[in-house]
This record gives sequence, C-alpha cells and structure tokens, in this order.
Amino acid sequence: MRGIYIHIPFCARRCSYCSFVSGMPHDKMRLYVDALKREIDDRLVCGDDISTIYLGGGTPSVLYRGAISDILSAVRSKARVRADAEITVECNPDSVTDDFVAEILSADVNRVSVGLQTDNDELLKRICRPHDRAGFLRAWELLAPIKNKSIDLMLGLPAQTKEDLLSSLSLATLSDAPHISLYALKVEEGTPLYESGFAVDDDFEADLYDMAYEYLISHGYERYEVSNFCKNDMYSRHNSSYWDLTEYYGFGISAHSLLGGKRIANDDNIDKYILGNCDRFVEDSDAASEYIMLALRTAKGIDLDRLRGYGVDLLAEKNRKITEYIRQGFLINEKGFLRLNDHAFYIMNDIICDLM
Amino acid sequence: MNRLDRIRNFCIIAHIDHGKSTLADRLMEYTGTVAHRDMTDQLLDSMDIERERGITIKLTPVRMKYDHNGDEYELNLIDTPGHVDFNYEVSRSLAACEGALLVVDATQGVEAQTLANVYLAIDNDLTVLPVINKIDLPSADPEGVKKEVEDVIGLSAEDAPLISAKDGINIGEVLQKIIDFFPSPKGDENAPLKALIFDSYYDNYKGAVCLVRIKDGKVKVGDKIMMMATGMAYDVTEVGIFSPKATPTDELRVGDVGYVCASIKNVSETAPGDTITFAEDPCAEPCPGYKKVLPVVYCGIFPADGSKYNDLRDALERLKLNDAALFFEQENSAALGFGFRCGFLGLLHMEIIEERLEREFNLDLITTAPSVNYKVYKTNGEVVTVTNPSNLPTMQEIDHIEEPIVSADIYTPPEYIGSIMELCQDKRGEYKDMVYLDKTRVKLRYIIPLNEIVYDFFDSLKSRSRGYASLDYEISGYRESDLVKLDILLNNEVCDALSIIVHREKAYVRGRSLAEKLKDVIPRQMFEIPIQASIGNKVIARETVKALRKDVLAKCYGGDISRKKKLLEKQKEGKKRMRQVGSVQVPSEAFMSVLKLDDK
Repeated sequence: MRGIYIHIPFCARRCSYCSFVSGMPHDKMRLYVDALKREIDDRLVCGDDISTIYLGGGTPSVLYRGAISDILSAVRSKARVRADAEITVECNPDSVTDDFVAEILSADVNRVSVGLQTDNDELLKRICRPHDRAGFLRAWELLAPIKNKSIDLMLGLPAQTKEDLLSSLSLATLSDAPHISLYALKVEEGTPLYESGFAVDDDFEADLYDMAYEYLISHGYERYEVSNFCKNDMYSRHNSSYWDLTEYYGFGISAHSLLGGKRIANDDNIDKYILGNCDRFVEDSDAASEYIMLALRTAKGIDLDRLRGYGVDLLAEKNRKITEYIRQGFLINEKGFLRLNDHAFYIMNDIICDLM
Repeated sequence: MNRLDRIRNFCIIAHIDHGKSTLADRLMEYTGTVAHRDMTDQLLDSMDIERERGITIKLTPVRMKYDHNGDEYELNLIDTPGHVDFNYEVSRSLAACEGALLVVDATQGVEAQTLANVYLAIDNDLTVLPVINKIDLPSADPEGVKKEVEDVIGLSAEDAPLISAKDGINIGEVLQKIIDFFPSPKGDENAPLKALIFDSYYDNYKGAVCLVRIKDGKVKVGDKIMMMATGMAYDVTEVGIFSPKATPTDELRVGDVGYVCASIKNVSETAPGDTITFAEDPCAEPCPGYKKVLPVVYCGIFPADGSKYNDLRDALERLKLNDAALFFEQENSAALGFGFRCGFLGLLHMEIIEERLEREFNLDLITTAPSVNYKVYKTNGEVVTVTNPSNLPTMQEIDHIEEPIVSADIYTPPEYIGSIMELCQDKRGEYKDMVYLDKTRVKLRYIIPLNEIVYDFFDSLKSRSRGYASLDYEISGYRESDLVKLDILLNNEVCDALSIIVHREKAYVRGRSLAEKLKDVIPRQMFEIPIQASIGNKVIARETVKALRKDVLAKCYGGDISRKKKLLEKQKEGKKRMRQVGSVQVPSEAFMSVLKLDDK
C-alpha cells in the first residue's frame, strides 16, 4: 500500500510568506502536465496498490480544465487505485468554479483542502492572497457535493489579532468543515515577508494557538496532529500516512518520495523536468528517528512496539530523559504508546531532540 | 685588549610598538648575523602569538660579531619580555647584561612601561643608552623626545643615536655606541663556574635548555653541574651560542651568553634566577636575586566538549614544559565537569595561555572568572589559601579573610585624572600620590586589591582614557577585607562555575548584573527558570527566564522530512553543547559572558 503526492507548481499569485516551489509561468502548464504524466508512467510500479492521492502545490485548482482528470487517469492506467482511496485536491477559493467542481467530481476526487488562511480581507490583501471572504463563501457553496473538506487557517500573520483568528475559526466551524488545518506562520528566508523584516512573536503565536485549540476542542474537533483538527474521525488519511512512514511516490518538481527505504527528492528545475531529465537526490531513510520525530506530532504518539521493529527500544535507551519528561508532565506513556501531553505539543522540538 | 674587553652584553628596553624587535632585526642584519633573505620580520619573536601581538614572551639571546677599529667584537643581545606580568623574567635577563638600549619612539615619547623597565635596568646597575627611533615619520620630534628623556628619566640624551629601525638609518652608530658606551663584562675565568640562568625552554631532543650568562669560570660538555636553588646535579651534554640559531661550541667562558643542556627533564628544574655551578667545586655565593615565581591570578579552564579533557591535560603539560610559571591542577566542577584550576603570573599570561591552548592545540575552552589567592583565617585557628571560590569555607567557619593588594602606577594624560580616580575609588583603591611627570603625563599611585584589577580594570581604564592610560602594578602584600562568596543559583541549584569572591559592598551590584546578564544568555526552556544571586542563604538579586512557549515545526509532510530532520539534528547538536546545571541547560557562552560585565 502506497500513497501518491503530485506537485502543481502554479499559482494565480504568489503569497508573501510562501517558500514552496510555486508560481511558475502559466505558459509552461501544458508541457508540465505532459511531463508529469510521463513521470507517472515511468516511475509508478505497474499494478501498485494505491490508497491515497494528493494534488498539492502551488494551487492545483488553477490548472486548465482536463488536466486533473488526465493526471489521475495516468495514475489509474498504471496502478491499482483502491475503490475507497482518498483523493485530495488543494484549491484556492478564487479558482473554484463550476467547471472545476464538475471536473474533479468526474475524476472521483473525494476530498478538497481550501486555502482560506484568514477571513479578514485586509490581512488577505496584505499577504497577497487573491481571494476574499465573499469568494470563500461562494467557493464553499460550489464545493458542497464534496463532503470531506478541509480549511487551512494561519496564525501569526502580520497584524493579525486574537479577534481576527476567532472570526476565522468561527467561519470555519460555522461552515461545518469536518477538517481544519491550523498553521503557524513561519518566516522563511528569501520570501517577501522575510525581506520586509517581519518577525514572529513566539509568545503571541503560542497564545493564538492555545486559544484556537480551546476553541476547536469546545466545538467538537479533536487534535489528531499538532496542526490538524477534525470531526467525526475525518482525518487526512494521506497526510497521516506520512507520519507512520507509509511509502509514497512524489511526482513533479521538488516532490519527494519514500520508496524501498530511500528518500528521493526531485530537483526543482521546471525546464529540465519538462525535457524529461529531472535530477533526483537519493538518501537512505533513517526509519527510527524519522518515526520518532513524525509520530510524536500525532495525538496517538509513538507506537513503541513498532519503533522496536525499527531497532530502537526507546524506553530502555532514553529511560532517564523519558522518566523526567513524564514526571514533569510533558510525556505520557500509556498502552504501549508514548505521546505528548496536551500542553506539550507546541514545545515538542526540544523533547524530540532528546528522544531522537 | 683581553678577551672580555671585546664582549658586550646588552638588552633593549622599549614600550610596545616603539620598535624594539625591528631594531633587533636591523642589528642582526647589519652585523651579517642573518642574511637579508632569511629575514622575517621580528625574527626573535618566534611564536605566532608574539608576532601578532607585537610582544615578546620568551627571551631569545643572539650573538653578533662586529668589527670595530680592526677588532672583532662579540655582541650579545638579550631580548626581554615587555610586559609587567613577566617583570621577574625581565629583571633576570637584565641581570645578564651590562648595558641597555632604551628605544623611544620619536613621535610618542616616554611611556609608562618604558619607565618601569628603565628603573629596573638602573636598579640592576646597567648603563642605559637612549635611542630615538622612528625619526623617518613626519610627526617625529627627536629633540623634544630627547628633552623628555632627560626631564622624565634623568638620563643624558646627548649621545642618543637618532635612528629609523624600519628604514635602517644610523644602525652603525648604534653598534659603535654599544661598544664605546657599555662596559665589558667582569669576572674570573679561573674561579669555579657561576652561571646565571635567565630563561629556559624545552626542546624535544635536548630536554630543558638553560639560557645562561657566565659570571665566573667556564663550562664544557661532560662537566658535572648543579642547580644551586634545588641542589640537583646533572652532566652537561651540550653548550653553545645563538647566532641566532642554537649552535654548539666547545665551551662557554666568563662573559659569554649562551646555552647549557644537561638532559634535564623539566623546565621547572631550571628556574630563571637560579645559578649553575659545579657539583664538586661550587662557587661560594649564588647570583643574587633568585626567587621562586608564584602565580597570582587563577581561573578554571574546562574543555567546551567534556570528552576533550585528556586533550586539554596534554596541552597544558606541553605548555608547562616550556613555562615554569604556569601552574595547574585538576578541578572538578558540578557544572563544567573535569577541567583544571590554573595559576598565572598575571592577566596577560592568562590570556596568552588561553589563546595558545585554543590556537596551537585547537581546543574550545570555557574559562571561569579570574580569581586571586585569598588567605582565609578560620575560627579554629587554621589558615587556608583559597584560589577557587568553590573551596571557600562556610561563613560560620571563617574568622576573617585577607586578600592580595597591589601597588598600582597609572600613567595618564592629565585630562583623564578625574575619571581614573573615580575608577580607582570604585575599585576600592586607596590613593597614595600623584606626580606630574611633565605637562602631558601624570603618574597616579594607588593601593588596589588585586581582586579588582583582575576584574575588568584594564578595560575600564582604557575606555575611560580613550586608550591613553597605562598600568603597572606589583603585589605589595595582603590586607584584611570584608569578602563574601557570591553564588548564582539556577532553578534553585548553585552553579559552582559561576561563584565569585567579592567585597561585600560590591556584591549587590555584581549579583544584579550577573543575574541580568544570565537572563539574556540562557535560552528559554520547558519550565520557568529562576536565576538568583545569593550570599550564604540570602538572595540579593533575582531574574526569571520565562518558560518556552513555542518550539515546534508547524508543518511536516512528505516533502519536508529530510530537511526538518536535519533542523532537529542541528538543534540536538546545540543542546549537546550545553552544560547541565541541575535541570537547566546552560550554553557555554553563558559562562564566558559573565566575565565581561558592563561597568554601570
């Protein structure tokens, strides 16, 4: 069982905080999609058992009509996509149209992730998002036929207040989104936001996160990973598979794969990619430490038996540290799982360092 | 003319940067001791650190041959360290000479350090010849400087050669005057051997090499010699001169400057000031002035990476081979692990050792605040010497404490007197007197506890005088003082490496500023960390490092894993470099940053 990630590096406009490979010239779109189909045909193992597919970016919804169906057909013509597979497409409210919805429905896409970020039009303009609050409401209505939907929200945007965040959270919960991702803004070097000299106030961001957490829990959501909340068990199966080291293909520029115990990274040069000579960088996956770092992000925590399978008896090797963290109330060891206590999620790096 | 009449033994005294080493280079070149092509600048300063800092740490004698009026003369130049920390070594090398060239910068005039060494030379009965250097510079004022030499030092400058060592101007005149002006050595070649050791260094093949001036008699390979201070006997394996490289000769005779090797394992057995004589037929009296050099400044030195303890020990042992004044013993700190308590002649000596450990041995060090030698009188009548604050007995056990005090001469232009007096007062200085040396120079004399000198006194002095003031000091005894141990508690546990001994009146200010400083350098951790400064059980200052609120990767999906794992591994590496004090992680920088506190 494997997953597939497909990278679409095109956007209507580039956001001021974005450090992903995106915003490629739209005139390369068709050539890129063709190259994608070729890569899928080349690398996807015939008859492979596929349980999740995720089109991310960038903004897959800006693709020309027919592109998403073509790409998914390329996958289906090679691999065996399970009948109950989760197939997600990321979209921006401004590029969600009748045609787009019709196309993804016909291609059996059954989950969408909508990048709302905030419902404050001023803030949206400031971070160069192309949509507004009204645009989100319109898109959300068009997407009604798809039940499994997620909303992306950000916290810590420049000038964002607690009230702004509360308003966005309440819009998301009133929209009855079964899934909400809540990302703290990270100012990455080389982004316009970084150049502007904006610096995140960690304490304020932590306050915002705590507030959002309380809000979502009291509205019937559960936190299944540090930045991801869902209702009725409608968690992202694709993303969850990253955290338990399920193997996956990554297609497209800058996409990564985990296959046969190797982490493979595609280069980000779109011209070479289009010509069919994408450079790939391969390194061995270090399953034990990757699993510790990823599983600790989840509510379930680290399955200690499973980790033993990767050759690490964590309780024995890090006994002193773990005992201390448990005593201090940061870690909980229960039923064979080692997990973070509720209030420790936002300071987990320090703990991971001691366990890795 | 007999043999001794054709020998001159001399040294060069100069302030830093006034051109001592350059003049030495020029003399060697002029006499053909070194071919021009072999010349590296400042040949006698062989350590990198000496060349870079423009200072001389180890002494190097060199023999030059010079023809004067048809006679061949043997000129022995004995280089001297310039700094107050090495005052004793200077006095021993002066004792090996009959004359001293006093190099004065024609643009700067007479400086404090120059004075101290000139007086040292005069005390050692040396004939001093002023040499006015840097006359090539546009701002040179040779006549003014000559007058200054006469007024300030009271030396006749009438015959002073006006030279430029850099450009090689009038070097011949200097050589002639050395012969005309300086007395030749005295002594009895037929008396039992009497040789003054003025320095020694360690050679991997020869063992300790003694640099000597033969006062009486002669010495050759096979002679059985004895160190008069220790009574230890050795067989001479090699004697020779420096020209400027060590060159074996048949023998050394009265008046000569050269070296003696005798398979001596350690330079601590060849202390400067000691006298070498024959084991069987010793001379009646040793050369005067020998004293054992004792460290006056101490600090803890620890490897930043605890696993490098053995490397640090090896490095200290290597340095010790060549530096009898360096003292060290193992120290175990709860916060810093295994390291060494090290003793030095002064702050510069300490700095040089630290720098050599880092540069020549590639070690990352954590050093603790410098301390001095305290005499602690206990209520039970015992007297103990304490160099490490952690070893101070409890308050109940202490009757009183005495601390070393120094007599400090501060030379400054008059406009900074007010500010410097304020500084000295603040450093618990006791005013002695003030002398106007001339219109532009004042000498202030204070009695100041050494404890205050080792703590940022130099930096403050320099900043208050825009770099013009200089300091010269010597230990002048001990004085009873109201001293207390100031502890720093991190999360309610004492961090031993941060403890200091301080005057009670200073404790509050120091405690507060230490706590503030630590608050800035200790990173936020999973829990709130109180930082307290305390005397005994009494907390006198408190700061808090707030608990960490956010340390998380917001997103981590398929594309990020390798990169994010590397980020976490880097964080983990950083954590490893931290020191654990109780439950608190303390970065190495924290221990260092408290050494330099702003004086407010």
